[in-house]
Amino acid sequence: MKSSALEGDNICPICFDDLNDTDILQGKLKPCNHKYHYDCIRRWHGYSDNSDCPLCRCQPKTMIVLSRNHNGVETIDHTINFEIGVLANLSARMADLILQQEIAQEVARSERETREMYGSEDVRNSSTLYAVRDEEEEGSLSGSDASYYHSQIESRSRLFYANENREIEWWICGLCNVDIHGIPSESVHCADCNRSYHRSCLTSLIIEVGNTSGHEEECPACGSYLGELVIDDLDISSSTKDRLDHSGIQGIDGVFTRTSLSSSEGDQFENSLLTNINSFTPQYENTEESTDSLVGENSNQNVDTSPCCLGSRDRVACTRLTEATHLEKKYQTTSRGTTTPPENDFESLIETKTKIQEHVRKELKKYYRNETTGISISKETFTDINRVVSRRLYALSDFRYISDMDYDKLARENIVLEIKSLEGPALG
Amino acid sequence: MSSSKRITKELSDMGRDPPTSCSAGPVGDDLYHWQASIMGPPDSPYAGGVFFLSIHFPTDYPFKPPKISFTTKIYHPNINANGNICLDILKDQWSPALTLSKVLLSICSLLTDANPDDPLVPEIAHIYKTDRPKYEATAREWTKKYAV
Repeated sequence: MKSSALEGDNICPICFDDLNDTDILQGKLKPCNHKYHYDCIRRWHGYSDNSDCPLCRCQPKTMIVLSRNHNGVETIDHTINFEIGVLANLSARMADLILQQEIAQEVARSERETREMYGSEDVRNSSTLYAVRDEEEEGSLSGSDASYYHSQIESRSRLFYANENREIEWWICGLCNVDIHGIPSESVHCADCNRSYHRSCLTSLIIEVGNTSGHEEECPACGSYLGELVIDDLDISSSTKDRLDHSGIQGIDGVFTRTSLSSSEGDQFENSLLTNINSFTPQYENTEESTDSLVGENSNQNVDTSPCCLGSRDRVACTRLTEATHLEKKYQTTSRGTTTPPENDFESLIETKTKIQEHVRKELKKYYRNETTGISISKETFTDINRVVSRRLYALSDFRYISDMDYDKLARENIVLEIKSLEGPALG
Repeated sequence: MSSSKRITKELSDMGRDPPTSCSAGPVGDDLYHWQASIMGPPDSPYAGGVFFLSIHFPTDYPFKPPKISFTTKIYHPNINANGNICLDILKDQWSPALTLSKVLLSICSLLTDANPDDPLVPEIAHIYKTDRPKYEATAREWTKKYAV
């Protein structure tokens, strides 16, 4: 057969465009070494039943994501491990694995929350875009297990950008790290943990990891239901743009494309965005009152808005979580009113959270897909209750692990309360 | 990436280096609707016939396969009366690295070597398997009747 230009080495076999364009991410499948535009191959994996190579139909073990500068020098960006999917699909271990994943999620989550709450150096230093890359390199080499997969998501979505003295969360896909354009049907947002994803990335992930939850619209990082992502104009100063340009991000303008919102929706979103920005400043400087007053100044209706549903128009999906977040806020305020959080005690905070969560999980496990207790809760409910109760206990015990406290009993009581408050259909 | 860009590239590649015994191009100015013709392979009962096909590219091409059907009647175990083709690469074995040109070549080879074990028309497949001369005679007859 003819050897046309289409089959050349420098052409992406999917879109037939030049593969070696400067600074465009490429995906090189291993072990077959076939190269594609990163966007193209990921999109294909969203369509195919397995993460196969379009050219040789092999099942790649990994994909090396790299870019090329104008001198033709390749830089490895990160690695995607397809074998995680195989691991997660071993059905015999499935249920146990889900639980372990949740433990990993919760621990990672606590860490992140603690950092946000106390504005630890990790968050502050990540004001440079793509500062998270280093962590990924480390993880990618060693990991072919579920915890690696979570650490990857965790590190990728924690992307902040410093504007003046505030930190703004960037709308970056929590999975592929590429900025999200304002087409609501192509992206989703987790109102609970404030991450956003391309829909195509989520589909790809499900293919790689296996659909452990049984439904697609679930945040891979925290397990909450996903809603629509709304992106609106941001007033961005020229210096900010310069910095962005230097950071080598492609198509960043897309982040600021105005989506077609009616004026009232637009206003509402701007308010949300303001609060959103505020909620990402270290919270110890920011009392409850100032958060609310900020909302109050800009809106007549949003005083009661919980950070839970900010940035998402899909507020209905948030109702259950809203309550929990309010409750949590209350606890945080009261506790902090009496005690100043320990400054250099980051490690012990994590330890405390982990310990308390062990109690909650132990009690909650009795209900997880367990017919003997008479109540069997689904994975989603497990995650929700686990989060709500853990936070409550954590706040109750004043951010410390108090050995005299009967955490088992407290957890049990709170879990029973939560389960009672559930409506019938929520029970799995 | 837009599908029209890729389709345009395929069109220009086809013009520059057309595949043997096939041709294809857009119908009118709709880039997503093409017509193709295939010459019946010389070593087959379809020899001498020209078969026309209708091609519709989906908007998410090349992530989804093009929809291809024969508009010329043909007697073949894997092609039914509506012109639908039973070919794995047009269904679950599709790959975005395939091109229309390669697909047409595959259809050519399907004409030479039918696949009676995965038939679309079981009656024809049965005759193909049990009475090959009868199949060949009917196929030749249809070719003469509809494709010449």
